[in-house]
Amino acid sequence: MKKLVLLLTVISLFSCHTNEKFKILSEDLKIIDHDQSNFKKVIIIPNEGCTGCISNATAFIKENIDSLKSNVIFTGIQDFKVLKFKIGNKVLNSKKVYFDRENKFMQKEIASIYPQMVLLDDDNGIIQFKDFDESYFQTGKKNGAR
Amino acid sequence: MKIAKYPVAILIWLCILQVACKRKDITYYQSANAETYKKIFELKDSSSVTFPLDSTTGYSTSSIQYYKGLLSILNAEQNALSIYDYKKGTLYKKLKFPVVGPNNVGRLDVLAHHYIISLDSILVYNARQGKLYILNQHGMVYKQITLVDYKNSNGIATPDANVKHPLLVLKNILYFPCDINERRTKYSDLKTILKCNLQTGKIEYIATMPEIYDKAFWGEYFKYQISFTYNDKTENLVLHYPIDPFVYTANPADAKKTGKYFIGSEKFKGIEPMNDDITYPLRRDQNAEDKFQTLYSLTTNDYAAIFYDKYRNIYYRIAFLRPSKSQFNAGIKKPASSVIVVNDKFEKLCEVPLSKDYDGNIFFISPDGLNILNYKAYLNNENLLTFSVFNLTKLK
Repeated sequence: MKKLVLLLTVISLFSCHTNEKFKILSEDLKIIDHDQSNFKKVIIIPNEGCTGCISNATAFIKENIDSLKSNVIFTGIQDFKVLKFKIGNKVLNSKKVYFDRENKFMQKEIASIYPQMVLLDDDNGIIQFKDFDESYFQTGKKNGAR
Repeated sequence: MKIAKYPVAILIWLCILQVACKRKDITYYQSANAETYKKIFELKDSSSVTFPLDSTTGYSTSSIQYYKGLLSILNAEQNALSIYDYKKGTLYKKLKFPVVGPNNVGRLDVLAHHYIISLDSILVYNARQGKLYILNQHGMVYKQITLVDYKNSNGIATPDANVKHPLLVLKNILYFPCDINERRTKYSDLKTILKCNLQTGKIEYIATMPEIYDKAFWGEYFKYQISFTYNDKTENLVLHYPIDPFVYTANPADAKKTGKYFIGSEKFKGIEPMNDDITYPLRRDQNAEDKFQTLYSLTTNDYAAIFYDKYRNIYYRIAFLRPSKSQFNAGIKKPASSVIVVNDKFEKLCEVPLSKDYDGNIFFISPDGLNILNYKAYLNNENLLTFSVFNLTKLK
């Protein structure tokens, strides 16, 4: 009986954690003034961290912004002028792109030093974080889970 | 009842327990020259200087230098060096470095650095290649030296300079601050200044790390990064480390320490280690991200840099006041800065916390004072780079 209670407690703790993450992210995504249905799949790109990974993800978005079936959030922005120069006008003016000037997506529950893909399942309140992987967008393969 | 019979024995036992259980203090904190000192000076934002930026250049840089009335700023994104006339606030010269072909310095990145020895002897360090290029004022590369061979650099500290720990050149000898690049069981035998004779290209390592690093584990690599400055009057180097409240004077020839001086911040007390066991990082997968280590490192205060101001014969020690864990978790990652000013005997004169209007990561010293980037002014006008000039004044 004691073991069962312990097991249930542990399971509850983990599910609360996932729900909390989902809640925070869902709430934050609502501040973005776009069609909410788009935000099933989001790429979050931090300003600082793994420099090479961030450069590669940024370059991928710049090259593929028209065909990209995902929304993009740039967070932790220190110098908007330089970011604008790096991404170019097309990305800057795209409705798929959101610039998190208030660093809401830098919160502990969401932030990483790597670009991330976030997959949201509204119906079940499930959220999955994966390392950004170009091949996921090219082939639809679900790589890079962590 | 029995216990009451042996009060002395119990007292002794409790004392032994107290001594045995007391954790050894390795923070070396003291109140004198941290909180306690004669407060008769203040560091005041007294004027400003402004420089124009082109449409693609931002405020951040890895390398900035005041040299004989000129201010040079490296723009790694553009592979270029902008040199301004400091007094006029105008662009004096812009050197664009080719990435390939004749006179190329390769593709620079955020770890690149520069140093002007004279206008006909400009050093540009390409961190990706580990190569130092020496150019004249027309951008012609006339010499290159490999400072580090990454394929064979195991156990050797890696050159890593930025605004807080810049290069130094004395009589054609380059002093390059280095990062540790591996976790060890002992650090006090590791030398973290690369010394290079620019004439011959001969390289040696000097300046062993202080023993405080042997006593515990202190987190991310940047907590181990040396910063140093040169006092041209005493002809001494002054060495500084992020978690050590002491600074050390040292001979430039071999960096043997000749003196040890406590300079503390009044904004925090001793810096506690992340783990009392120095081997902590060796016991886990070092390629895996350790979120606790990141959290500890970015939420524990430290010292960021030391600079000698030859115009006023004083030193500035920059302390980083890092966000609390709750602030960090809410998305605030950037530390605030506090500038500690000491005289040539390392006696504290004042300490001034900088408001968020300033960026304590970008600064330089000119005859006018300590120039600190005014971030608020940049946000108001992204086409201008404004530095607030701070000066020491007597309190009224």
